[in-house]
Amino acid sequence: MRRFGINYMIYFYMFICLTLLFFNIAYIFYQKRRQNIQEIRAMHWKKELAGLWKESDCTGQAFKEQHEPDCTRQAFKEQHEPGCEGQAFKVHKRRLRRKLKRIDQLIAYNSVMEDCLGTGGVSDYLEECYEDFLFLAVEYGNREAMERAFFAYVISLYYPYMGTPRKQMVNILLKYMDDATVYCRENVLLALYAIGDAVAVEHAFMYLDSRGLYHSPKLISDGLMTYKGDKEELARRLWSKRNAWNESLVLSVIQFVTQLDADFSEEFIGELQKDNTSLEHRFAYIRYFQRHVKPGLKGYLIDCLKQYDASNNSLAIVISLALGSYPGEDTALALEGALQSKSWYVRKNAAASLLRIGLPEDELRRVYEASDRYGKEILEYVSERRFDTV
Amino acid sequence: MEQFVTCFFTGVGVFFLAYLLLYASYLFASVAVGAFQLYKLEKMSQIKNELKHEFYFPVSILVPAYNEEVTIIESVESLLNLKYKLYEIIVIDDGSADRTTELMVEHFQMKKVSRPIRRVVECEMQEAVYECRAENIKITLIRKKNGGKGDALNMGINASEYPYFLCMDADSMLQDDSIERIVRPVMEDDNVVAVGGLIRVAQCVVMENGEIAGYHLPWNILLSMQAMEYDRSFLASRILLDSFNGNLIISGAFGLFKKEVVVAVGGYDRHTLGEDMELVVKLHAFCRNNQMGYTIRYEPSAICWSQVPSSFKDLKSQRRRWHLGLFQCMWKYRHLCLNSRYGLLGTISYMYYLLYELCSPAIEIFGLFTILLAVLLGRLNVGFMLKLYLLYTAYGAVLTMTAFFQRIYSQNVKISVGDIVKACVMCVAENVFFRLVLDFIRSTAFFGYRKRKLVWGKIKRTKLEEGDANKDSSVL
Repeated sequence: MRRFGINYMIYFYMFICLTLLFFNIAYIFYQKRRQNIQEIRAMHWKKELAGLWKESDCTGQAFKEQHEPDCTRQAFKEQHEPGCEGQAFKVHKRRLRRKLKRIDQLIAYNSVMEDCLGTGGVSDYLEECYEDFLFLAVEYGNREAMERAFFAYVISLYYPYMGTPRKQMVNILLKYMDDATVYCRENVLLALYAIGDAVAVEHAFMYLDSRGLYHSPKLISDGLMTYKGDKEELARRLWSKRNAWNESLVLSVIQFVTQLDADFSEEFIGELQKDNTSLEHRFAYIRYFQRHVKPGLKGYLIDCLKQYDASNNSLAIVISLALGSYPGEDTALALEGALQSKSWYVRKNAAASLLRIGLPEDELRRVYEASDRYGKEILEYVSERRFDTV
Repeated sequence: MEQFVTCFFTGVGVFFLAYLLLYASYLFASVAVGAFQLYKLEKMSQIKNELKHEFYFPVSILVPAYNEEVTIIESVESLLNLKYKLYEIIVIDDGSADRTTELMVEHFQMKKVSRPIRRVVECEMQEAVYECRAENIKITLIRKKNGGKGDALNMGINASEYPYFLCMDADSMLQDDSIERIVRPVMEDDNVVAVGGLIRVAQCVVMENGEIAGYHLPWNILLSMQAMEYDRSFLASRILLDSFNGNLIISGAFGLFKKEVVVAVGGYDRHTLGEDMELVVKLHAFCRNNQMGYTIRYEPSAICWSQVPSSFKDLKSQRRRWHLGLFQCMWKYRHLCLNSRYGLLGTISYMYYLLYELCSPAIEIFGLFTILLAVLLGRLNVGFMLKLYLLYTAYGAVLTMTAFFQRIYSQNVKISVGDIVKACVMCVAENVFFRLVLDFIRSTAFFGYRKRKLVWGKIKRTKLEEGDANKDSSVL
């Protein structure tokens, strides 16, 4: 009985493993076949699109090479005058709605479209198809997160900001964020940035905040830089919500603002000087002022360096680096003091900043002589790197 | 007496059947979960479900090197071909007796600098520091007194400038997208403190500018069998353990760590042979003891091609070290064993490594001893034993084959029909012979333990030549 049980179990496992093995082998062939099918599908889309633009040679590379001159706004308009081509376009639109419901068809279609994006005619074509993509957006709203993510990706490519409001599309995309994966959320955010709707971006952030969803601040701040509308207007809108959102989101906004040319110094100085501002935010504000120099702030930063070097090393580390953007005798004096800091990183940044503010050679030598052993070491090393010509 | 013998054999029989069944179930679960996960990952990648980003965050790559004059230049050159935007390379020459430092300085025209290095984790003093820039990437070479791999990595941590560091071996090569892929889990989840990548056998691949130019199984049987073994172990157990944050090992050949947390636990242990495993278990223990939200991830799409021993002597040296390292780590963290505070980590992960990795040679020797005893006492059912052995071997071979083909399809690697046949033969050979060889090595690992418990042993390195991998015309 026991032997039978063991045999039975091992036969069972063996059967499952063989099934897995055959699945793998079959999948390799399926993948190869699928790749061929996808290529055929892409070819059909190429032909169809080329037909719309009255291409004579619609095959593969020829389409790629030839579509550009004929994809002009004028060519597209001519072909969509009432008549045969207009009828063809209607058929095409119907096919879009029918075929692109299937993810494989959407992948094939997108592989063709990605090659054509950016030309005037294609923008007009996509504009004409907007209603169809709205229809598809609703369709994909009922799909699993993976497919929703892909559709959002497609929209981010097809509908960049052109001054046209796309309220319906952004509302549908915002709904994609329900029960979404991090990839789906990221693609939806990218689509919203591309569409250039500040209100929608704000709503998306509100959604993330209200559900306590983590989205990397780095992804958000870099993503915001791809926003196609008025970045400063967006920054001000998002900044106005800072008190309602979690620390991580606000940090993303500060990092985004830091990369812009916009002047937020008044707002940031106020926040920096508040006692209850979090450490991460303080770092971000100081980095902003390292990049966007405000001479009036120099005294404050120098005072902070002196104050924090004793109490909060991490802030002193950032300030000692930021002071490199604020040359002057008082800065040099503060940095010279920081060279004697207990913190290795403060010393290192102070040495780098002393060089950045362009201290004359003789003055630098005096600072070197006046420093302790650790200060000398770091100053020597930083000086070597300055003259590194490699 | 007769009753005692009967009880003994019944007990041994039940123990072994339970032991094998548990192992078979574990292997099956891990291959099935692994296959499913890879299938899902591949699908996600096809439909842009990934965090493709222009720039992630800066990473310090630490390359400890001890007598690596044969491979070091090629390794660093391969690191310069990565697609990643911002990283630095830190090579730590751990007191090599060969020309590792000289070759590096000559080849990259490095300049000696008087760089002070802050020791946030313990390590031997540096003797000299060299720096240069190549392809706009900062390369630092630190020559230090010999202190072991853990010590060298600690020096690298001390010298690194960025918040995340990636450790790798000097004889390994990364694919051009490896760093990009290994950092993605960190972008997905802020609680990720470490990510392990997939290690594959470098002797099987031909790389050109960080991309796979060809893949073939070498004629050296030892290499081919190790290729099979790596594929199975990295597909099987790692993905399953990853599903409940239970991985106890991130290979020292390729792993990404959050520096802040590693510094908080004191860096690498300098007095163990398994510093990579020790660090990961230490991170688990530290984060759980401090009730920190944390995850240690395994990213199968981040690939590192690492040289494996090509001779029995080298293999013996490597596996002895691994086994002793495993023992040292399991002993040091024995409080994890079945401890409810550590959840599945203390039960499934720890018990798996204890029963099926550390104790398996002893258990298998005990099994062989029992068989001999049974033969002597005329109590052996030879038919049943052979049948079970054959079934089990076939089962192991099928699993290895599954893992191998899984890798082929998930990475779109093209291999020749000849290699497919060779792979099938090797899957069987690996289960019939290689397993026994490894058992022998692991059984003898403890000989002379007191004297040689910190001795790494030497492994001969070979220069990886570029060439054409796709010599066979018929490819799948």
